[in-house]
Amino acid sequence: MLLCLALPATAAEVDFARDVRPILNAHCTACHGGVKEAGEVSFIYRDKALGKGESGKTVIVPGDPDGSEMMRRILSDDPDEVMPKPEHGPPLPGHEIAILKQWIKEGAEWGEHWSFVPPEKHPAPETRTADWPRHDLDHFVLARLESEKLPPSPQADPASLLRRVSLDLTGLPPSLTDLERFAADPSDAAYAREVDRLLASPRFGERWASVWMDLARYADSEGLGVDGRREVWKYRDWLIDAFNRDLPYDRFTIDQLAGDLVPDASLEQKIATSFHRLSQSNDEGGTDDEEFRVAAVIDRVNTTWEVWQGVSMGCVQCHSHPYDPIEHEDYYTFMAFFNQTADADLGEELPKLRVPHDKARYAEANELQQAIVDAEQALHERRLEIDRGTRWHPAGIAKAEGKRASLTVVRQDGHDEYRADSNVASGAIYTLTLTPPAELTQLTALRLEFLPLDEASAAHTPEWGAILKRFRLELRRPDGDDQPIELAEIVADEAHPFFDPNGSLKGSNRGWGTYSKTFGPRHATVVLREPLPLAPGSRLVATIENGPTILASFPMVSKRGRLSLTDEPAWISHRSEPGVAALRDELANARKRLQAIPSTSVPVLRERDPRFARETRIFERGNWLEKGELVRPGTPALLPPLEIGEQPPRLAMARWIASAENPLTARVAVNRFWLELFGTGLVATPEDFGSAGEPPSHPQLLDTLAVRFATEMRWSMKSLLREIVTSATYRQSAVVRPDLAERDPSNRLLARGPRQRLSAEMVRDHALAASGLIAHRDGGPPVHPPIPAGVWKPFVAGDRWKTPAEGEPDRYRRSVHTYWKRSIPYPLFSTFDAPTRELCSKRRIVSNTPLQALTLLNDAAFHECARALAARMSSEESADLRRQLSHGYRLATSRQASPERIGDLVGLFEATRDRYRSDPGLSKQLGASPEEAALTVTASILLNLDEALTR
Amino acid sequence: MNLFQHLRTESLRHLSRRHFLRDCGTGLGGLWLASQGLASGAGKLSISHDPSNPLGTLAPSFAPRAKRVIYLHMVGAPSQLELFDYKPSLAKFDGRDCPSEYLEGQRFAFIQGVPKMLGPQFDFKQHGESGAWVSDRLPELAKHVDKLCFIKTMQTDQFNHGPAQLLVHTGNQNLGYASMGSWITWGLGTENQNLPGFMVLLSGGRQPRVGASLWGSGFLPSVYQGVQCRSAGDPILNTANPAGVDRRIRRAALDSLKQLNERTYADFGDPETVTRIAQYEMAFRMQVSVPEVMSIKDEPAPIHELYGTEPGKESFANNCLLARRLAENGVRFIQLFDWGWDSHGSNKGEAINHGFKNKCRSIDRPVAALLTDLEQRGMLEDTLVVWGGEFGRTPMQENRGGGERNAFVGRDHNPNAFTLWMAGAGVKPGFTYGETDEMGYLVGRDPVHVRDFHATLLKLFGFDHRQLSFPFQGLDQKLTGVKPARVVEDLLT
Repeated sequence: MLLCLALPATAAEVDFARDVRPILNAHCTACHGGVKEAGEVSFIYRDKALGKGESGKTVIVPGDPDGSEMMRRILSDDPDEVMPKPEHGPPLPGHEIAILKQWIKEGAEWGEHWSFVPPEKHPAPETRTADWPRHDLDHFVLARLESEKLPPSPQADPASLLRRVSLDLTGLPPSLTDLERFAADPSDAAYAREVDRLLASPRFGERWASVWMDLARYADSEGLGVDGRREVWKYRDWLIDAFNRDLPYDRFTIDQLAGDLVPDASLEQKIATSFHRLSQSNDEGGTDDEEFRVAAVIDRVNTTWEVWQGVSMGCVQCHSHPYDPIEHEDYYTFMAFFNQTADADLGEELPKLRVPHDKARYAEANELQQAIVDAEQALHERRLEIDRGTRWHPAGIAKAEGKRASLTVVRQDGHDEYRADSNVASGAIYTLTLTPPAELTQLTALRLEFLPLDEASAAHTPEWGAILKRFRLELRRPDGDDQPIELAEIVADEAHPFFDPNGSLKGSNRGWGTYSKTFGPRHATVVLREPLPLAPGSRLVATIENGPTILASFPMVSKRGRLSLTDEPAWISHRSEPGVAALRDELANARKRLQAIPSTSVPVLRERDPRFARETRIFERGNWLEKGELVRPGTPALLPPLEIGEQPPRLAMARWIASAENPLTARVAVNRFWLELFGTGLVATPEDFGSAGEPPSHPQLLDTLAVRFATEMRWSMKSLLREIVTSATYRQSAVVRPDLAERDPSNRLLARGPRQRLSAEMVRDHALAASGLIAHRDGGPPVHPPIPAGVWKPFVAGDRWKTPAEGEPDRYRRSVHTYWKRSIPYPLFSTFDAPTRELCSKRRIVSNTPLQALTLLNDAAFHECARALAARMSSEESADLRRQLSHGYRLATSRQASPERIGDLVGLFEATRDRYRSDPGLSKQLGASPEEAALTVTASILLNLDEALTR
Repeated sequence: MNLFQHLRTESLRHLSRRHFLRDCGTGLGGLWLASQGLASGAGKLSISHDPSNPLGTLAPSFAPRAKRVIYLHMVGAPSQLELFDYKPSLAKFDGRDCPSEYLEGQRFAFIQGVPKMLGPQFDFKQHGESGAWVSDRLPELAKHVDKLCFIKTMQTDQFNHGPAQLLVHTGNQNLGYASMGSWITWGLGTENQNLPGFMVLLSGGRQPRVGASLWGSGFLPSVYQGVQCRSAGDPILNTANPAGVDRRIRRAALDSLKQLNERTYADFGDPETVTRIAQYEMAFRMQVSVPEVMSIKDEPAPIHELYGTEPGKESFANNCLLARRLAENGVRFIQLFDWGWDSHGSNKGEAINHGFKNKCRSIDRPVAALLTDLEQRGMLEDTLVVWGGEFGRTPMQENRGGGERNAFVGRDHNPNAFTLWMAGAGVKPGFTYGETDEMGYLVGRDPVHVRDFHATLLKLFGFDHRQLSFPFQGLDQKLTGVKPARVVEDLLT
């Protein structure tokens, strides 16, 4: 039986969160909780539990167990009365009834679940053994062991320890030089130096980036329907770099959630926001961009909570949390933080950020991009100013003709509107004959408005948008002659449209418009080259060419719109103002210089213009098509309040998460690092810190480390890791003593050191490192190492997997650089338990399967490693077989081979060599000589050893 | 000491990590879970595998009617209106505007404006004693209608391929959930320890678009994911030794490895080491059994004739024969995907009057052969065969971009009603359940949602769908999801 990690107090006062909540969750909340409130009874909040149920009887009367309906029903022997109902569960055991009774008697005090209460730093407990602990954290571990009467284990031997800490910190085994050095001086000071060396290695960031990439659901493809390639590797490089320069966890958090909104954001901070653009997108024909935009926003909410708060919010999308005090509405108030970004499941993955290949040019590119944004903004403001002084005259529509559409003219709010029937095809052309009002004697500009059919519902559930492929204007004189009017420019109603609106002057499938969905009325201002005198009775003819079909099925056509006219001279004259001309030059110049920097791009977060904010509403039962009440951005009431103030809301939320006052953030982070190093977190359910998750095995240790991480260590991840790996707890031998196998098989009490199988990335990197093939680099585009034939069958035919030839460095890069496609996982990685990274994954469940054995024995890439290791064994050592085998064993396991093991290996080598001698045909397929072939087989076995797969 | 005996006792005493999460009797999670079933006996099942033998056979909750399943998925969604759901009234409406009540409130993938109705494109006849209607596209299968149990009123929530395929196979339209094959293999293990319990065969030239997620294990341990077999190269990745390594050398190498790993176990006492030794032994056995079972070369000529198989080629016919061989060898869940059924009429291959006819031809004989072959071997008794797609097709002609009829006839996606049939273990032969409306567009009576189908499937394997669950992301995940599902008892013998 497992050790009981959370012993309930018996004699002492009853603690609600520790003693009572578990009983309620176990027996009651399934029917009387956040999902269901059977009989109008719920045990989530105290006021409700102390209220009256449907029956009118008071559920709990503080101080009076006998007067509480709850106790009466629990104790009832009437099968129609007793709780839980017999078909739902067994009656409560006696000791639980006693706890409930005592609790009600003591006043039925409520208490918050431990993880929602801010952590406190605890003094290190006294221990009987004084010389074992090295750090405070060891005192907590040892105190617990002493209370269980279990001694800790001695320190691991130097080779095992250096192997463990090297693989844990850098994902790579120690080199033989490292092993020699540490074997010669295994002192504490020497160990500390090794740890510092590993933390300073550029390989450190690569290892920890791999961990974070599971949480970030990082992939080089977009997922869902088509799963095409997605250029996003600069985020991965940012991540590696962030770990290497020990970016404090609070800034690391803020940059990923809202780096774009931080004042004077660097290019790195903007790249970091790619984190939430790693959600999936869908380019399958016939899919609704809004449905998948919403799905991405929902994923961002869930991922944010799972990564930083260790709370599953997924269930709250449809109903209140079943166990924890988080309301259905809280989901949507939190969703409001993410609902205003400009991305919208567009095929182009907009908005994207141009990122120079060369990191040295980041600052330059950022300045140029800022110059572009500033110039666009300044131009936009000048035009807004003109717009405010403009009198727009509604244009009457005398006639509306449609090609590939039939149009009607409707008068609404004193303004003629054209409306197209629902069956309008892409590329439809509207010819509108406009009647200018009599008082207008000249025309300088025209305003074209695209309107949704239903403005109220479009504000939260948008309609398909429209693209103005081309706009033309002609003057029809009273004599009936048409004269084309020269147009100067088209000005959008926002400062930074995705596409140049002037594309619509010459014909473009991505000119001005409301691509691909529209949340409300939008307009463009069409400016004439010269003022146009309007004789009385003249007519204007406006031609609107509609856009193409997108996603194989949705025509980008305007179904409703109207036009207005003005004689405001500033629309034309402002174009020659010196300030405006200078801005244009600046813009053109900055764009040109930016274009000249060799770059890639990443999709990033960017806020929409607040004037066009989307409404965020509750989804009834989680259905995005059934919108309920309007909500404002906010955080659940059970956590410390958030003051948004003047900050952009998303930035305020990011700072709220990254604050030392947030009770969950530091605990969840500390637990995650602990999980990576020990195989199990102090909280065994990193995905659930709520009341349905496991309580921590060492609550005071977790809280103390969490507080210190956020304060003394200033969120330094390297400091936290240094503290843990230099502890006596971590340095213990991993030998499973017989007493421990019995008492604590999963090592929750930490009476021994961790012994973990290598992660998927490590399995490959380790074999490459042991065989000497590994080729390091710092960042760069994804690589395509050997993949078994027939695996790569992408949905998009042109998507190729090109493996570099033997000897090319890109064949032997670390696994973190391997191209990651969601629908075609790299076989080795999925065989060794890597997730597909479609969604945030909080931990990998380690499996042990025959397919792993087949991969390591037979996969061509591993076979290449075995050949290389054999070559290394014979080239780096003298001709003495035993020395070669011992060299290989050490390369593969970091340990010295015992004589018995050398004996086993010699036996294998000789038997194999003899077999190859007797079958030269077979031998030739593997090596130049029977000895070489036999050494390759032996090397392969070395790479398959349990010890070679373990850290 | 015998390591395996040792491990067995060890494993009885220890709980695997997975098991720990689920059944831990301590802590709040454990208590909550306990309340959900273990303690009460009414809630969820306790499924625990010996860690050294995670595919070992387990008994279900009650007597199963099916021991294994061969699931034939026609990827892209075949038109029920051209195969099984005969609608003479639809013929009368052919070419007329679609009635407006069909368009209001419906979402379509590709239809725009007011489309025209499209009558059945092929002739139908009644067959067998059951009198089931089958079109002239499936003449061979039509001879077997008295074995088939049709559901004419399958319904789904999803009308795009990716999410709809996921819903059929994992019970959820999002990625990351466990597939039916994983659930069943997790719940029951498998009967042949030399082969994976859940195997996947592909044909049609392309993978389904969401790929391996359709046979993924999601939150269940990865050992229960489907193992994809390949038509070229090793039938399962890495079953062949590298060149220059024969079976004798491999045996010698593995003996040595075992010896070395036993020394490691003696040093560290880690039970994972013992599990690893066992997995290498199973790998060695699989290297022989997989190529053997996956080679159809030695099947007698009449069998090749029956199925229309050509060894060495990637074809649906070959996969049907392989499916029978895998079933015969105790594989629990055999999943076939055949790509190319998305008959929009947007090009020749996707046209009902062209590509669709070829697809029908490519499956007719093999499916009929599979039924014949299973029956003659007495295997239809305990083998369930399922045939279906991810949704149905509209009775309206598709008019992409709002245009008129063109040379290629096609239908759009219809999540409201589609046909699926089952045959064999535990289902009524020669039986039809449910009826669509006059046009074959909506359900007339007796709808069967995908989750009802899942509940029924689990029942056939001896499980109550409400009990087979796994905790993940704060929920007890079930194949049937969170909405209520019903077992369609009428389908069962």
